[in-house]
Amino acid sequence: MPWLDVKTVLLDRVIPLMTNQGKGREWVEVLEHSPDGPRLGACIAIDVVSGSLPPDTFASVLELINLPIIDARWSFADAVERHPDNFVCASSFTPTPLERDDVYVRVLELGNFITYYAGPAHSYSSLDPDDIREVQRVFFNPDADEEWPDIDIEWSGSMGRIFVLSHKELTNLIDSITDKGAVVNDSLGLGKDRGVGDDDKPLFVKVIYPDDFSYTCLQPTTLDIPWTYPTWFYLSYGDIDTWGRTHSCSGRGQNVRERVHFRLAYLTGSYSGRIIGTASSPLAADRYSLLAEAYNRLAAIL
Amino acid sequence: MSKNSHNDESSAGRALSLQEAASVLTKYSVQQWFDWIKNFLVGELCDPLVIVGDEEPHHVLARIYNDLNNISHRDRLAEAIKITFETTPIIQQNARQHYYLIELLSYVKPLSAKSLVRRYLKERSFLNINYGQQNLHTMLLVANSKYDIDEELLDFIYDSSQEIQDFKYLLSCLRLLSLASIDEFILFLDTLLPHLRSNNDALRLCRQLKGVFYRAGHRHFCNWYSAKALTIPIPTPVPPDARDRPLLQLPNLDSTYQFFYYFDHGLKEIPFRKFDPEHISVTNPHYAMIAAQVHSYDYSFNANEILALARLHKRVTIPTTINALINIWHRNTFRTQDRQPWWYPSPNEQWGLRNMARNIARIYSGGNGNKPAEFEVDEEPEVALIFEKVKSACEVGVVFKQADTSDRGDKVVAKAFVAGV
Repeated sequence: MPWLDVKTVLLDRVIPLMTNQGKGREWVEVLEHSPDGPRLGACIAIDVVSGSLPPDTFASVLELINLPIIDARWSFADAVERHPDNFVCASSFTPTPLERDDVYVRVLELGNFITYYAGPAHSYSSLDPDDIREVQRVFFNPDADEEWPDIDIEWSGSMGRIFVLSHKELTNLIDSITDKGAVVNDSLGLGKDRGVGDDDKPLFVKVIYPDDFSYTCLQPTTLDIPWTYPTWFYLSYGDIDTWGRTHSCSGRGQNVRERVHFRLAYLTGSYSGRIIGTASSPLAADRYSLLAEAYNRLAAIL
Repeated sequence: MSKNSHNDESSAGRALSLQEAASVLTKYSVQQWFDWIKNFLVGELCDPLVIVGDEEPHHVLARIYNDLNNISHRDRLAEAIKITFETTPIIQQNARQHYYLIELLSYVKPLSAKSLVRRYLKERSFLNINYGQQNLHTMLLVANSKYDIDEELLDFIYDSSQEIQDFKYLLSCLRLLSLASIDEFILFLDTLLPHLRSNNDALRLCRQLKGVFYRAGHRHFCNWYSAKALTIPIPTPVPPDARDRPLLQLPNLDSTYQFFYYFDHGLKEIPFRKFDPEHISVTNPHYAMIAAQVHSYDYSFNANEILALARLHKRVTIPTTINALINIWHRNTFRTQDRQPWWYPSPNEQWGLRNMARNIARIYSGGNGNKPAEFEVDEEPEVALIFEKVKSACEVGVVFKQADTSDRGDKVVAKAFVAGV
C-alpha cells in the first residue's frame, strides 16, 4: 500500500509538529484525492525521510492552510506562497562540486528562453511568431554554440529558481540521437506537448553556463516546485549524491541528475547557447509510472 | 499499483490537457472567460483545472486560444483578455497580471484593444511598473507595434525617446523603427549611439542589428557606417607594450567617442563575428566591407586583401569604398607605430622601380605579408581612382617613406601616405 507509506510519514513525522493537528490530518485525507496530490505527498515524504528538508518546515507550511480544503495540492501551494519564509533552494545537502571539465546547462523550450532571457534583455514577445523567428535567428547559430555576451539579465520565472544539469551528462544523453528534442523532453521530465517550434511542436534550446559560474546549485526539493497548478514530472530524491533525479515522462527514458539554483539578478561571465531540436515524436506520458516511481523512491529510503 | 488507485487521472476534478480544456471552454461567453482568466492568472483555483506544468500562465492561455476551433470562439477569448486588461487597476501589485495580459494582447491583437493600448502608451501609464525583469511600458510599446506602426506611433517613439533615457527602451524604439523603414532606423541609430554607456549596451544594440540586417540587408548600414566612422578620431598610436590589448583597454581612447569604440567592439563580437579576409570577393560585399572595417583594429591586411576590398566598389559604390578604405588605413595604422600598414604609390610615383609599366599599379603591404598586389590601371581605373582618393585623404603633410626592397637589391623611395593622427 504505497499511499499508506506516504500517509504514515506525513501523519507520524510532520503533522505532530503542527499546533492544529486536526487541520493537518484533514489535509492529508484530502490530499489523496486531489489532482496530483499523491505525488505531492510522496515528494514531501521523500524529503522528510531523506533529511533534505526538516519536517517542521512542512509543518509550518501546513499551519497556514485555509479551511475548507477543496484541493489539497492547491491549498499547499497557496500556503507556501503566503509563508513568510522563502523555501526555494532549501535542501540541507551540501553539494559536491562539478567535475573540472564540466559546466552547468539549462534546457528550456524556446518560448521560455524568450520569456526568461531574450524578453528581459531585448523586449521580445514570447508569443508573437515574428519575434520568435527573430530570436531564433539572432541568438542561435545552426552550426555552433552562440556566445551571448549581451545577455546579462535573466528572469527565473515566478518561482525564483532555475533547474540545471551537467553539460557532459546532457551531451551523453543526446549525442548520437536523431530526435534530440524528443529525448530531452522525455528524459528531463519536461513533458511538453506544445511549443513555439514548427507546427506548434516544442523546440528545445540549451543555455550553457560559464566555466566560472560560482553560485551554489543544490538538490531540488518539493518546495522548489510550483504546486499551484497540477505540475508535470518532478519527483524528490534521496540522499545519494546531492543531485536530484528527473523521472522521464514516458517512464522509459533515462533519468538525469538535476540541481537548482537561486535566481540571479545579473549574469556575469559569458553564457552561450544552442538549439537542441524540435521534439518531433509525440510524447507518451505515463503518469501512473511517475507515481509508482515516487512510491519506489520513498520505499527505497524507508 | 492499480491505475485507478488515485484520482489524479480520474474524471472528477482532474486536470485537463489544453486540448480538453479548449473543448470545454469553447462554450464560454466573454463574461465566463473573464472570470476564468482572472482566477487563472493569479493562481486561484479554476474550474476547469488545466495542466500547466512549469509553463507560464500566458503561454498556457495562448495555447488554449490556438486550440479553439473557430474564430468567433477565439474572438470571445481575445475580448475577455482585453476586458481583463482594461479592468485591472494599473498598480505595481497587479504587475504580474499586466505582464501576462500585455504579452497576450501582443499575440491575440483584438481590434477593440488597439485604442486602449495606444492610450495607455501615450499616457505612460506603465512607465514605473516592472515585472519579470521587464518594464511594462516598454512591453506596451512592443504590443502597440504588433498593430500598424503608423505616423502617430512613430511620433510617439521619437518624442518618448527624448524623455526616457533607459537604454533598453531606446533599443526597443530602434527595433520598431527598423520595422517601419530602414531610413527611420538609420536616423535613430545616429541619435542612439551617443547613449551607449558600456560595452554591454553596445552588445545589446549589436544583437538587435542582426535582426535588422536580416530584414533590411547590409547596404544602408554599410554606407552609413563607413561615412560615420570617418568622423570619429582614431586613438593615437599604441605603445608597443599595449599592442596586444583589446581595443577598449587601450590608452588614449578619446572618451568623447568612447561610445563608438564600444559599438565597433559589439559589431565585431556579434553581427560581424565571421570574417574571412582570404575570401572577400565571394562574401556579401556590404557585409565584407563592414566586417573588414570592424576587424581592422587588430587585423593587418595584406596587399591582396586590400585590393580585393577596393574591387568591391562595383557593388558597394566608389564613395563608400573610399570611406571604408580610409577607415581601414587609420585603424591598421594606429597599431603599427612607425611603419606603413600598406600603401599605394601611383604608377607615376613608382619612378624608382625598374621595368614597371606605367599602367601597372601596385599595393604594397607593410603588415600582414610582404608581397605586393598588382592591377592594370587601364582595366580597373576605378580602383586606381579609389586608391588615389584614399591616399589623398590619409596624407597629412608629405612624408616620404623608405622601403627596402631587398629582394631586388635596390632602394626604393615610394611616396607613401601616412595616417593623419
